[in-house]
Amino acid sequence: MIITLLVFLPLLGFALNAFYHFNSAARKREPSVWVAGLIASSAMVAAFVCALIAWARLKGSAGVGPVLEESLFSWMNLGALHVEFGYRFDRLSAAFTLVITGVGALIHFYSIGYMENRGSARYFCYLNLFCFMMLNLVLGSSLPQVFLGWEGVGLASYLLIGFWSKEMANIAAAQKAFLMNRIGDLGLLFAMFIAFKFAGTLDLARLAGFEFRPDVATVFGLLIFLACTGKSAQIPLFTWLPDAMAGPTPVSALIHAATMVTSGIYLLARLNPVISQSTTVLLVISAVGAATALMAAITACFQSDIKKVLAYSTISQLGFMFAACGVGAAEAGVFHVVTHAFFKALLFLGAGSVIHALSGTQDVFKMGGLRKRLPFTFWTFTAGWAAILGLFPFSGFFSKDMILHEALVAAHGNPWVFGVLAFSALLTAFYMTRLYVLVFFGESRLSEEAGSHVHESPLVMILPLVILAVASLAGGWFGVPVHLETAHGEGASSVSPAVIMALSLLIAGVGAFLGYRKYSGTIQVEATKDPFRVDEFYGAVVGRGVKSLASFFGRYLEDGFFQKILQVSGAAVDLGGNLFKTVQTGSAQGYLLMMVLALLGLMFGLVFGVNGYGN
Amino acid sequence: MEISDSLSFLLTLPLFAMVLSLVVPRAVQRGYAIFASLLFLALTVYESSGILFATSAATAARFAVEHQLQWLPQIGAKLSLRLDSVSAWFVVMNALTAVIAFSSKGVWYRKSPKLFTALGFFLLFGLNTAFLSQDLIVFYLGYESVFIPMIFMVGIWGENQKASAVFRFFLMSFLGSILMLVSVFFLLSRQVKDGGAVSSHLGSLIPVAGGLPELHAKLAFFGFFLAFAIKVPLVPFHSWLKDVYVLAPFPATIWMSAILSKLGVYGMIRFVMPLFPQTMGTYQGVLMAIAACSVVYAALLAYRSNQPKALLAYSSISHLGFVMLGVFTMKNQGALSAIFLSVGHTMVSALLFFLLSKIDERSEGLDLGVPRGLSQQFPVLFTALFVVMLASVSLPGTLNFAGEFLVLLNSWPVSTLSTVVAGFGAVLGAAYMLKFYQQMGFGASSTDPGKQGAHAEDLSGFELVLVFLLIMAVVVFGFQTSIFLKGN
Repeated sequence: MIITLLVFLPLLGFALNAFYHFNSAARKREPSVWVAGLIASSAMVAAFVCALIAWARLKGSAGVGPVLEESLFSWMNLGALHVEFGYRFDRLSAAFTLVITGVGALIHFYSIGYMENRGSARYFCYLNLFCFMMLNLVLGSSLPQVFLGWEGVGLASYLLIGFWSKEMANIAAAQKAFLMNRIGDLGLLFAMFIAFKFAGTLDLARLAGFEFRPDVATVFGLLIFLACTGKSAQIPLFTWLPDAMAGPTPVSALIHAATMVTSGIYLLARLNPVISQSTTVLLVISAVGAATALMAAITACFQSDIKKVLAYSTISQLGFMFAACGVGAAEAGVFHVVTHAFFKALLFLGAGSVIHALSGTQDVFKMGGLRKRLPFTFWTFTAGWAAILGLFPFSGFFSKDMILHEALVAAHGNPWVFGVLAFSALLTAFYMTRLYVLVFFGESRLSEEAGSHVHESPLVMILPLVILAVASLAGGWFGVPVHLETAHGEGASSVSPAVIMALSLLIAGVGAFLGYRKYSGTIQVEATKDPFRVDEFYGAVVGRGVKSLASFFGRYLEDGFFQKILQVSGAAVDLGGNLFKTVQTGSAQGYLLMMVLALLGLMFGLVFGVNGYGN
Repeated sequence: MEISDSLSFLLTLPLFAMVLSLVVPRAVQRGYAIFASLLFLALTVYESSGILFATSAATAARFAVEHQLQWLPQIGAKLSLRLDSVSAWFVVMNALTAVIAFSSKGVWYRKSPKLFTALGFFLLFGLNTAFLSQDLIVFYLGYESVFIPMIFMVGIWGENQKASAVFRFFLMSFLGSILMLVSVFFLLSRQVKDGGAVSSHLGSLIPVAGGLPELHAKLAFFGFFLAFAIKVPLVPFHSWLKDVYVLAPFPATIWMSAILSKLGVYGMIRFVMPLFPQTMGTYQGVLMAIAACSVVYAALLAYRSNQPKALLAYSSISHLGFVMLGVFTMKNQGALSAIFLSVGHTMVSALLFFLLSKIDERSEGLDLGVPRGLSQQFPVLFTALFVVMLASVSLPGTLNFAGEFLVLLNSWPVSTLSTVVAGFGAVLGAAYMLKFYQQMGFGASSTDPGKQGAHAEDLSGFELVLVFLLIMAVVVFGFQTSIFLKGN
């Protein structure tokens, strides 16, 4: 029962902290961040240990695709539908589980330092709840169970984005995230109905082995992909992620960089055999992934908020992963999920450390020269920067390189996808260097107030940074964590990996050089821009559309048409006799009298009337 | 099936409790009402436990009980009560609703508490009559008798300007039920024409309805359909609802949304489906479209409402649209899912209005503008409200998710378009419920803590236990669905 244990440990942490929270509230005491944080972190560490043990067992077991299975109970049985509630641990789930529990545990520890004086048991409750749901998502054995996790992480994300609930802007961001995800979730819901109608099962293993009719496979794949665009912030459902930065920074690191937003990649990889049945679906996925990678990379170049840069960067990197899934190299996508989890979590936590040191400043044009004053943060951030650029031998080098290579040589590879991704990689190097230089180099542009008490973060925050920096450096050497079935050798062209490696290093070098040259001298403050204005477009079209539809119905149907009918029929009854006059007085006795009379009359007519009929 | 006498207590006990409430002193009325309804709930669950906890449909069928008494032989009306796997759920929901309603906002106990309790127990009696009766005339009487306490409650304890609201409520419901009565008589008259024994028992009316010419069957169907469509209500037969829900005192609103609406659901499943399967099949596409439009239309209006009680009223209509979608699949599995979701709707809508009544008590009244920023002040109350809200938006892991999921899964092959439309209602549902919670829960507090008086305490004691148990039930049955589905 090791898998069940590892899933339920965070739930136990959630329950303990919930009790701690309400108990402290009842005694009118502030819960201690250390107690709450240590409860939550130990749950995560224990879960990580369980995941390691399970991983070792998996490695030890024979077979091509070894799986540990645990079935708990039967969830829904109706007609042909049989949904078991249980967990399945294979290589794909293992990769995600290790990231969720490992990186998760580090971020829990980090939060103790970051949320001191600002957090409470409530915060750690939500964090543990998130991990529980996320583990259900990647370990669940059936689609409804994935859906439980899928919506559950959405809930946790909502709670954590809006954690500082006195600011209405945070609440608005949280709601936006929840609702955009709900639109995507509909895709998963409908996909389940189709799967059940045609395949007669919602079990993931059986579904993966099912051959759909070609048109059904296309619809199914597109609906699944719609769900993925919501959760993984791809075009068209990506605009919630930049706003989600309203949440505490460790939350951004855990949920909006390392784990939740990679759920889409998980689902595509899990259903890879079904998705691959339709070339249309694959084409859509690779096109949307590449377009998102480019669009978000461009937008990132125009951001001045340190967290927003990283948010757009995350969207862009997720685009890389989707493109990999689309060209038929889901394993490269999953590899990038893992390395990205290390370096993006590191970058976010580094950014958190900077924000913490500057008492809340997030504008990169009000930073500068922090290299000397925050040495640990600087050196660990450097590792993250090198990894996301894809410098050898950092982890990003291996995974990004693999994606670029596969974009050319995989079964559904496409030079266009390769070109767009390569250009996005150049932009990535540019905006990350811009950020890196603006924050840590040059002269200090701090406001006097922020500059007066700059301090390096406490050990509880530094330690996770160091561990993640090591992982970002070494993570790529372990190689691809999963082996999914992919067709090689029939790609658009065959290019040797060495050429791609050289090319991608060159791209990173050029991007970094351009970024360094532009931002190393005198700094001109740039205004934040959104060159694509998708968010505004949605606000104007969808938001306003729903509101006007609602007010149209309200005004013309609800308060108009239906009221008229009632008034007319009311008037007709009024004219009909004096009996209803009492109604106008509003006395309840009047109605009662009417009721009783009517009932008596009916009974009378009923008894004698029908009796007479019988004669 | 066995004939036994054990069912009549489901009718006689509420009447007894009603009479007793007139002699119980004013001061302990509330305690009496809650205690008596709890006791009644326990007895109801005990009586139906054989059916509820049966592990298979066949076992549940063996526990079904039918009990008959001669009543009005002239029209063949018998007091014919039946407790089976359909009616058992509705009877239990009825008893549960009474507990929640009696425990809600306590202010009404200041004005004629005895009358209120008596009316509540009368309601319990009338509803049980309707839910248990296999005889259409008796069903009709139970169905109609529900008006009396309802109109009294809104009339005496409701807000101002209730006259026109009550009038609409009365007018539309009465219109519907008269049409139903006409249909019943029509079926009876056919029986007489055919020369058989006159009986308004469902079992003997099914062949009569089956033998009707097409046009007659359609007319009779519409009589029933309209009555129940108004009762549920389905859009466009809902226009009576909002004002009555808003102006009624909280217990009455709880009764209306949680259980009176189920009269329509129950009637559709128990009577319309077996009586007019062909006619219903002819109109199935239209019926499913109506249900799906109800979901979306009511959700949009809920989104537009700024008044919390009106928002919940529309939300109730919207969710009942899902229930009806399941009923209109006209399949055993669809109907089962619909009953399942009905139970979820009863618990969740009763809880929502219940918790809203508790917020109302603790702020200066909802009609003076929506109170804001209360979640800091009443953390327990708002945590409960949040969890119930999640069930209402059918987050997986709740009873409502399993119900809604199964309904949509079964309606997808019947009408994909209606299912897709209804699915969008689920997105809108999240939109208005988040707005509902955010309005009162978040932001800076708008109320002056000094003004709160004696009610400024968080949820505690009996109320807390009640809410906690109900929430546990919503979660546990969200996973242990076999109690509803029984391997069907």
